[in-house]
Amino acid sequence: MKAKLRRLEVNCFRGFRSQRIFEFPDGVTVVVGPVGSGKSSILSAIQFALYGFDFNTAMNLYQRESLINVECERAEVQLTLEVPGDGLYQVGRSLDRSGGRLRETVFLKTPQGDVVNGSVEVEAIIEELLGLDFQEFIRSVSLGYVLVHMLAYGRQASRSRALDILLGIRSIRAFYESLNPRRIKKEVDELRRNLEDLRREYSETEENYSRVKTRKRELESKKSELQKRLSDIQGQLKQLEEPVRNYLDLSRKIEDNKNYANRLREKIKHSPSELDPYRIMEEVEYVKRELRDVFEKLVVSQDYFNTLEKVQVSSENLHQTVALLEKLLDDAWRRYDRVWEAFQSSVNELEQRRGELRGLEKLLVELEPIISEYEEAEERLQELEAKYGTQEKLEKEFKKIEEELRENMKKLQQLKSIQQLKQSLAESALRRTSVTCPVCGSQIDSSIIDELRSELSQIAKQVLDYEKKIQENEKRLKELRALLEDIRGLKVTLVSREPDYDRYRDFIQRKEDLEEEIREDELVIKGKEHEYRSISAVLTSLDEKIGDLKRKLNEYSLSLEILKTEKEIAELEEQRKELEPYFTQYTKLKEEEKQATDALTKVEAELSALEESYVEQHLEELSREISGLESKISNLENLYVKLEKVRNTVRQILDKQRREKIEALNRRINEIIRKVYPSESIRSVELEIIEKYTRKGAPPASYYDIYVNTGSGRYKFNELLSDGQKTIVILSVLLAIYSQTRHKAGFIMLDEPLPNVDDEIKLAFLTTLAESEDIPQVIVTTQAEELTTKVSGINIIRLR
Amino acid sequence: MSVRHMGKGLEESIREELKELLGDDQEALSIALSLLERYVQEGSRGVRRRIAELLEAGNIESEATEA
Repeated sequence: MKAKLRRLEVNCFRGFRSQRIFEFPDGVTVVVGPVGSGKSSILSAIQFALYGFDFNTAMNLYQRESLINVECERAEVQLTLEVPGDGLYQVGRSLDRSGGRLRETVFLKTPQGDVVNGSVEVEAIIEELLGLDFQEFIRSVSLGYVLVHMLAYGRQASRSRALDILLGIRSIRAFYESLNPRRIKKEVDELRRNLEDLRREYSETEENYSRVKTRKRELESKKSELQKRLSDIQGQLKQLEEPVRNYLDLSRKIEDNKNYANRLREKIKHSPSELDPYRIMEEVEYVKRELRDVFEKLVVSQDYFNTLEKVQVSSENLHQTVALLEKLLDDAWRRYDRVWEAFQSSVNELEQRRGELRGLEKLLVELEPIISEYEEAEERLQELEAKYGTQEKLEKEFKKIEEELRENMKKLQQLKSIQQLKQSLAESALRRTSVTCPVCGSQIDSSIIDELRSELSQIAKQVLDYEKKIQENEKRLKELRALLEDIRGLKVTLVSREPDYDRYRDFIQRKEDLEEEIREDELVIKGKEHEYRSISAVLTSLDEKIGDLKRKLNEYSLSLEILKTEKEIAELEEQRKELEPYFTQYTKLKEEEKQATDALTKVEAELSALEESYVEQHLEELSREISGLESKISNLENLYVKLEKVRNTVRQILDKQRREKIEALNRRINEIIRKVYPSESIRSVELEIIEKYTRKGAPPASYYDIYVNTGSGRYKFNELLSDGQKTIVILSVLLAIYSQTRHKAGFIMLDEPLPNVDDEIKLAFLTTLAESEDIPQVIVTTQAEELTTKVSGINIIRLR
Repeated sequence: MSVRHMGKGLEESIREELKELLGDDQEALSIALSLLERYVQEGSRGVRRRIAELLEAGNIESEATEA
């Protein structure tokens, strides 16, 4: 039983922004709507639900992602198929582009309620249900307007291409055209060129091999000659070995002696004149004299002088004499050391005195302020006594003035009392004429007022005198008191500082004594030090002199050894001179031997390089390469032949399938036309294959023409027929293709077929054809909305 | 998910034709079938690649054995 479409549910698929549901009953269903309303999207959704692609995405005209509505992230399609006798199958497929990656999910629910997931599994069930894969589906069941348009109105080439697609011939042709063996041919040609190169190289190597053999014979001969020459030279060299060995021994000895003499010369630092024995003797005598002077200065025992006197200097005993003088010099140094030690004791004592002096000076410095105070007090006291007299005299004057002051003050008091009384009496007498004196009882009246006044004037004068005297007394007493206090203070200072002053005076005396002693010791020590230092200088000089004498004596011995060695060298050179000719001949032969050996080595190296096996090996390698390459070429040629054979076979299949399909198609078209259009105006329709050779060597290109037989003749399809007749023919062709394909689909989908012809005719023809051909469902899209009112008995899906 | 470049029915009919026409040459048949399979899966590009592989191998015998 054939499968039928029942229900389609789309959401966010292509032009549909929201969910839409479409029902598909049996019979002809027309999807009506203006451009962009989603007519083609319905057919596209059915293709996608079944196979995961639609025509455009399968042909790579669009990306699969474009199936999702631009405003959505996920598109969903669900299609319900009915298989009569089995039940409803529901297939759902969605595409999700969220997360930047396109993901597909697919499921299929069987009438038994089983759910199958996965695109491969679902596609297998769909192919089983419809008996079609996607390629077959889009060229027999779901026909796009492009193909139909090309078939109906295209030129010969376009129509042929459309028919090739619809019949499946185009895939076979594309397969045939892809079987191009040119690349293998090119590779074979390249390998052939390589083979030629290798063969050429092989030939050249063979020639070279022959030249190598000739050269090798020449070299073998030369090698033999050189070996003979070397043998001769080596025989002569053997005879000369004994005298040459002697010559070389002598040379070695001469060289050794020369080296020995040179080493001795390097050790001699003095000039030859300095090494004269008589001059050395003079220097020994000088040392002897100097040593005697030193002994005298050091006051040594008489034994040393005696020993020195016994020394007799001669050229024979110079070593012994110098050794004896060196020993005496050592004794002199020891004596000097003892004397110097005693001298150092004196120096130490002097240093002790200097230390004591420094201590005294330090004490004196510490006492200086006290002594200054004492001396200043003493000087001040002397000045005061000189100026004002002694303390006793000043004390007597102080007492006397003190007494005068008391007397004057007493008299002044009396005068002031009298003055006050008389003043009072005079004032009373003036007020009361007469008054009695309270002291003497005498009567005083105004007649004695003048007298009283005169007395009062005199008393006032006296009071002034006494007051003046008292002032002078007090002033003098003050001066004396100050002086006496100064004098007493100074005397207290003198008494309190007197012990320190006495100590100071003692220290001064001790200091002066020490300074005197030190001065004397310093003079003595300085003299001795000068003397000892001069002795030390002489001894040091004698040390150096004796050292120098010893070196000279040693170098003198070395110079004697050099003379002896030079004499030996002269004798050896004389002996060697006699052997000189043998050595010269030996050297010459050695040089010849070297040259012959070098030449032999060179010949042997060349012989080694010319080893035939190398060339033979290279020839073998070349042979193997040639053989391998020939084998490869043979294989590739075989491949080329096989591929050509395959290509020709596919061509045969292409021609055969095309022929058979066209024959079957012609039969089917005419059956359909006779059934639904029994008019004499179209007696038969015939598709004819026309082959044209466009390129030399290439297979012919195939074209189709559609011929129509009318009662009056045979015409090309587009030359005679009306639009209506053309529609009948084209729809017949399409339905013939549909029915010719073996499948189990109970529906055909036509996307705006033949838009330029009368839709009423088209639909009426399709309705009749579907019924007669047992096609349960025909789905057609169109923009002609008026059809819905004009044609009855069809299902309408209206889109806006 | 990939698209087939030839319908299954058509592929099967060509396969049968090849077996019939090249039955006496197993090497050529093996090559033809492998090339057909590549065409179905990858189209013309797949066929070119397969030919390149055969060329690389350079030995039709071993390729036939492998197939």
